[in-house]
Amino acid sequence: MSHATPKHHEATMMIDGKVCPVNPGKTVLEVARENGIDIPSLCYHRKTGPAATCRVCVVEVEKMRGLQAACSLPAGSGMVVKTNSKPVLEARRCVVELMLVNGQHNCMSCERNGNCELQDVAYDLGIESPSYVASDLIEPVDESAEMVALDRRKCIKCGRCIAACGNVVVNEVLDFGRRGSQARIVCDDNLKMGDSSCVQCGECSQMCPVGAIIDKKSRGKGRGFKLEQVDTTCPYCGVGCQMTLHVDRRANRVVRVTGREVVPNDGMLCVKGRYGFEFHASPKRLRHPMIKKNGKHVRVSWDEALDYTAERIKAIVDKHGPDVFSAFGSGRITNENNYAVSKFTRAVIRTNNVDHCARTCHAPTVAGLATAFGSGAATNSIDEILETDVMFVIGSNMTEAHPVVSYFVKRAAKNGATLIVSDPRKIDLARWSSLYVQHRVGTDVPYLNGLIHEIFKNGWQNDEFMRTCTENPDDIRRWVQDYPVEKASELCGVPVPTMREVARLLGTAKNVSVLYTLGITEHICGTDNVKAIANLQMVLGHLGKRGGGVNPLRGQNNVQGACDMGALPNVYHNYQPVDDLRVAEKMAKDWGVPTLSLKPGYKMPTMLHKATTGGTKALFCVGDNTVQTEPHMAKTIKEIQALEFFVAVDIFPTITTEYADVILPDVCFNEDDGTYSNLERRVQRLRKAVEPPGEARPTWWIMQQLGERFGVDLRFTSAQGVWEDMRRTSTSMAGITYPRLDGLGIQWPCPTLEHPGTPILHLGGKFTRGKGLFCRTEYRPQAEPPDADYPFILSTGRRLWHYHTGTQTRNSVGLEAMFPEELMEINPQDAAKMGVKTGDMVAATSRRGTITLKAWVTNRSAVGVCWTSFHFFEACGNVLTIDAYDDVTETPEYKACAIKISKVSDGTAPNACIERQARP
Amino acid sequence: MTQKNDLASLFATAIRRERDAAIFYQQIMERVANPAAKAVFAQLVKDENEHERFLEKCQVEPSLLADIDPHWDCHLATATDLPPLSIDMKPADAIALAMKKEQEAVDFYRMLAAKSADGKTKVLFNGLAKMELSHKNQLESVFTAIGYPEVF
Repeated sequence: MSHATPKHHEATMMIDGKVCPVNPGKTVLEVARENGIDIPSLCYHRKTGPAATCRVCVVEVEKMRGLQAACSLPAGSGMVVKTNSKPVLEARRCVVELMLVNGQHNCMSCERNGNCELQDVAYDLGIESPSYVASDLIEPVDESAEMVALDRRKCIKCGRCIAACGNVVVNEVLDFGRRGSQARIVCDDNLKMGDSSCVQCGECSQMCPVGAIIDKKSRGKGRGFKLEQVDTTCPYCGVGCQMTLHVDRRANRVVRVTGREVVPNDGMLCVKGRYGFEFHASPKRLRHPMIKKNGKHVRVSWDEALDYTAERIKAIVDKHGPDVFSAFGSGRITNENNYAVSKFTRAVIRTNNVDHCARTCHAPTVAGLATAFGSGAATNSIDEILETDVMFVIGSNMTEAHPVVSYFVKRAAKNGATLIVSDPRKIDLARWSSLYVQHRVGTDVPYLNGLIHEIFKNGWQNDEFMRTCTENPDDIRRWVQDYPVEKASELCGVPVPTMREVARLLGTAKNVSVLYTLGITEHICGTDNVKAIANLQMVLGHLGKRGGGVNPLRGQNNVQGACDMGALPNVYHNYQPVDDLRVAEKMAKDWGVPTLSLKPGYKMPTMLHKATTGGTKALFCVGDNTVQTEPHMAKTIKEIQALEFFVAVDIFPTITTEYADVILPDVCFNEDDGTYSNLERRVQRLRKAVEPPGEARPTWWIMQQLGERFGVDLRFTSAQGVWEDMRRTSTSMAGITYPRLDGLGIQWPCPTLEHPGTPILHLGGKFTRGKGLFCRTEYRPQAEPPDADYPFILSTGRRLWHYHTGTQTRNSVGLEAMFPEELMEINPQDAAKMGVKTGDMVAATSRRGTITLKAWVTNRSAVGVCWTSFHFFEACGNVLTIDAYDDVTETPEYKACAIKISKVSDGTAPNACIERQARP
Repeated sequence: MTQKNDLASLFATAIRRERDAAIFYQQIMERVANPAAKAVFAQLVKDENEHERFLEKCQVEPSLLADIDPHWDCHLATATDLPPLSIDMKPADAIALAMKKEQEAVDFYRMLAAKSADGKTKVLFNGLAKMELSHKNQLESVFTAIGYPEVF
């Protein structure tokens, strides 16, 4: 805690005889705490603000009648405050004793013993037992939810959980029900928590000052003070939430996860981050190296596995040349491990055939933004969302895919910012929007061009920005002439008045932040979609300033980092081009190899495609469940089967590892040190908390061992050592070291040790490429439009409760129970025509395959559009999706293909709470 | 020579350095092909002209130099390679070149300050070093914004 020293010109107040500086807008409680004076409070929390309900924070103020609640009393110059006078202590004691008798606060068996704010206050006041008679509370604990238990007997009715649910994460489930002494916390309209719309983010549990709301998973698994706390980064999605793992070292397991109140998440987590941690201890984990012998995977020693792998790769490369070898890094694994894969591929095998799953999601973002701005990363930081005037969210189901970002967006909307949600699917976020716009799947270009046209028509463009900060301002005005709103409306299906209203809201705003995700990128025109967004923001001039920008929400925990580390076929780490001789010579010198290939490698789809034509013979795949994630699963399987040699490094057996000649067990996020880079370019630490299972080893260790078998010492001795190896030839990350990351993460560019990092790119409209470049974008329909045989459009995406191919979430208790099987979302009008109701089994068929799964009849999808995910291999959307690609980046069109639906049988409705939690 | 004359001579040297820098950037500007780099060099010419005018003001009122307080130095110029002069220079090359030159100026004035026995002269050289450091900081901020393109 900082102890402020007053300067002579500052306003001051006196607290317990100490002179304290007073800053405008602060309360007495805040000033006291800033000056090292503790005033207890059970209802107040920095994040939820003053509530003045518990009265524990009462203080005596000179010249004021009666005791005052410090949490809500504005601090004023000249105030004289006593926090521990006799009247104060007597009142506080009375309040606390009443709390104790009005609940069943049995510390001995309470989960919060030793970590309870009420217990602390009672201790400080010396209350051994209350002076009053305890009331008998007969109220069963609400155990109905998967992750959170609500024990109203321990509730002190401080309201902190309600404020957290309503104003911090803005899920708006909890509230007070009944009145007076009967007041109680209720979920929705007094439903059991498990039946309510609660999404189990656990913010209420983290904020509860007593043991009334607790994490069920940690119950009885260890007292807080006996657990070791390890700060780390969440292994789900690209937000990069900072969390603390509470670890039982003896049992080698994580018992509880809490959010750290630092950037980027300020303590908030989602259901996956807070409760999806047990996969690390799953008995299904890969524990030993295995080689396929006679069609079966057989356990072998590391030496045998590595020798065999090296021999096979060497034989293939010696015979056919280095370019028949390809490697996949991963958006799941650490920066260090991605660098290790890249360095092995380039320095040992001497090919640039390395790529990773950014190819399947945000490659168009990087290609599009790099063309327009010179840099493909998000331009601004998450917390700036709270400072914007208009949020334009397009193609982003963030309440499910990036929940913690959605908390910021919902909070900003609740605080008065305008939220425009444009999405072909009526997603949950639409509930908080000022305007929801349902444009047709794949019509982002005409929609955005139409908006730009309307902005020009009304003179809402920022001429000054366009003139001084962009290269070709006249071009964009000319190009969008083909997209008057009337024509754009015909293409995108948005009514003309709605388009005009969106244009007005954007065009007249002081500041606009555009946030988007895969709804933009996973189309054959993904790069054009991104360029159209860049055009819009350059026309409006909302770049290079706080609260504005173009902000793609990167999908996986480290997909930004995998790009940064050079798990890409055309660049080394920090985007240093492989075909630049100076760069190649620098790398070769540092890596101690004579030469490096100047030829850019193949992109992931090309690598796979070449397997069937002999161009790819050996594939080294790290942390990528390729069969389940690539489109057109049958084709992917054929390609992998066509390989001469296939190595899979992973943490779990998957549908992909089944095809591997060698399986090598990897460590997961809490079993080694390392770093991830989040969607704000923020590099953050992972820390080892538990021992890996069996003989699992980090990828960097595997690459080192393999390198040695090729006669190359990659110099990898630890995760930190790998980072330092990368940093030696780094440009934009040269200033980031492990010791510097012991505090908060650092956003690149951070080129020197003294550099603080860069929260906002293109500051003042100075683009990385010099001036911004407007790019022409034209409407192109989806590759496979619906027709008489396949009349529905299928769009795919992510669910809240699961992550990618489910290897982590389906091996964490409770998440599977909350969403146990995949569903096909069908619009009610379409379902009625087919006689399908929610729960019926339906067959979904495309030209590439069929899956059978339950129907979910819902207004979330528009008429003629169906929707599913790829989380469940049993009914995976990628059996159906099309192998049509964005022509710039080879990113597949996951968001649109043609299917037909037929009813298979009657069935039972899925878990009822799914529908409430998704809130169509 | 009197102390007054000494200071006038020092200012004249400093002003000449700024003028030379403006001429240098003008010459490159006329040769580079990249329009964005051309624009950057044109801006650098303007900047150097402004620096020259500022020093002329300081000559009358040396205390202006004392008000400059570049509170940090991220040493980016030192860590960056000097780009070769060529017609193919890009905007980032232009900024890199300029910040290296500002670093040279910082080092030059610091060296003179260190060697200076006279208090007023030392103060003046330190002031000039701070001024060049603040120019360098501005250029380093620009370089951070444009020097690390992310491509795919």
